[in-house]
Amino acid sequence: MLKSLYIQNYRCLDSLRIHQLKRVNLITGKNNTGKSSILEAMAIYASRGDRSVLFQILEDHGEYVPKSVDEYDKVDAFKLMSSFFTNRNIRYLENDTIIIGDIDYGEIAKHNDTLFIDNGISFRFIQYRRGENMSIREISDENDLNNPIERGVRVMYDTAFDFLELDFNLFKNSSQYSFDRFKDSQYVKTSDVARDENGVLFDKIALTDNEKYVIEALQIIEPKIERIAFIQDNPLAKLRVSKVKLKDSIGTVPLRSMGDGINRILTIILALINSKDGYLMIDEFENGLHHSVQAKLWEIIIKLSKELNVQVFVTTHSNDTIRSVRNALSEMSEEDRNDVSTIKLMRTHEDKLEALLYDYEQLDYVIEQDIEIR
Amino acid sequence: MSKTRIFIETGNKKTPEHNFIHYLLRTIFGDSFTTDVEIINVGGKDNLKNAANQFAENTNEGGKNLLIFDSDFTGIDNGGYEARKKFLEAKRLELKIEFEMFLFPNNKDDGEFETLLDKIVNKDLHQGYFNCFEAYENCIKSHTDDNGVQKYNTPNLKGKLHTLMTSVKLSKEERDVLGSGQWLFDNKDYWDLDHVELDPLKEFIRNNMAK
Repeated sequence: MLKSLYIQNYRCLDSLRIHQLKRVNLITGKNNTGKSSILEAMAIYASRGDRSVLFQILEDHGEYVPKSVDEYDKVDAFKLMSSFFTNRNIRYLENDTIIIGDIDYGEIAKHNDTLFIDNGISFRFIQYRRGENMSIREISDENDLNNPIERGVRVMYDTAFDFLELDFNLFKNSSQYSFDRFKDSQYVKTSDVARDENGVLFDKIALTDNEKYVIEALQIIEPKIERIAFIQDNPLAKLRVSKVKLKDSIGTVPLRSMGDGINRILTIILALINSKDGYLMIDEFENGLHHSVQAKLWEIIIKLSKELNVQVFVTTHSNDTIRSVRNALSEMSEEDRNDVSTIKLMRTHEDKLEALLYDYEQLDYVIEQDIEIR
Repeated sequence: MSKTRIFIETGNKKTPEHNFIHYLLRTIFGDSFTTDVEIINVGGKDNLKNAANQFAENTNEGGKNLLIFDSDFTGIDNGGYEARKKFLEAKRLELKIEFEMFLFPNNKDDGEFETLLDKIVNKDLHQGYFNCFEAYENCIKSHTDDNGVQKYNTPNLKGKLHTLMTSVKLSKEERDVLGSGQWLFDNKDYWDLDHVELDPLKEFIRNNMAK
């Protein structure tokens, strides 16, 4: 679990320090303050820079990503990678390193990004020459013309090192990459109502005690739900669909027919249970969820994240969501309250990013005073 | 445009203190003040930690924070102008927040919000009421317990002003909002918002508004 957060040079997050993180972190703030970028940065951190995660983010941003293998040789990997960096800067200096980690990591990495340190990841464009056995020698002198300069991205995380060659192979087959490095974390995006991978995620917990949490969460909206399964209705269709059995009724009902809210809950709860000992990121929590169900869902998230040791990062634009966290916590123990922080991101008049932290009492105060913090 | 946030000690906006500041701002700046001044109810000096983000947020946005609290009285709960000023200065450091400070009644003497109200209330028009209230306080002052300790609090400024406002003849509409702290501060029959005793507070506000 990260105790604090330092992000440098990642998209609009030129320099962000959040001095204290809790188990559950609700992030709010105006548009363009970088809420979603924090989730992306956390996904990159949690996956230790897995290319499939980078590729997914590029795809989500609508950056040019070829749809067929034949198109890959037209990819400008250099340009694609630059889109992760603040102002799309392509520079080779320590100051231009993307750093994601806790504050202790950030303070060290920003002065020396070649050290192996826990609790962080860094990316930097480097220039290099090929040595013998294709080894890579980083250079800072561009005047040596004996060998051609090549350029790539160096990734440092924990005690490991990765190197991304910026050619058309960079993201080739990325979508088929295994999610091994990201296996203990999940990223639920704004548009994720019923995710394709829900069936796979359910298989991982089927016939375990965790099934009961799924049912409990679905019962927030439909108390009659007793069981759920993922079924391949059509032998020609690859995807399986979720079906539920309702109390006192014969047959099953497709969950999709029961509205977006209950499907969003299923997506969130499956993602949470499959993030054991890892991280869960949820973008725009409120999407599809009526405010009346949110407090109950928060209660489950707060309790379950503790049981499964998951650190949760959630963004919202909604006052209802902020209120629902407070309402959930008002019925919970002091210990549970201390597990949750609300973080307001803002840009100062000098265009610096600041994070204001609200504990339960501070959150309660602003809500009682009708002060908007979203 | 940068905002000025005025932090007052009361806990909610349905109080005479909140409404008084509102009408005072109208007296100073006219109706246009509403867009760039915000009154925030802190809920007591011991609740500043919970309001700290509201100070920080406004500072981050280039605004100015004014804190207008009671001096209270020396010897009671660390009160009195000097002690309260010190307490709030220490809080400012502890919470790493920025604000300019004014303590009721006049930023130099002990007292509270009602001490200032007592100076600006229309005593000429309600002389009879005040004479009666004085007689009442003199009467209850004489009641003591077995140890000779006074049984009732006197003077009771809050009670005096509250009783005045609930005793005067008002229309139904005026009476209905009394409980929301609407003490008719814009009505000269009760209050004089041009009174010289308000000059230090007006000057403080004028001098410290966000530009």
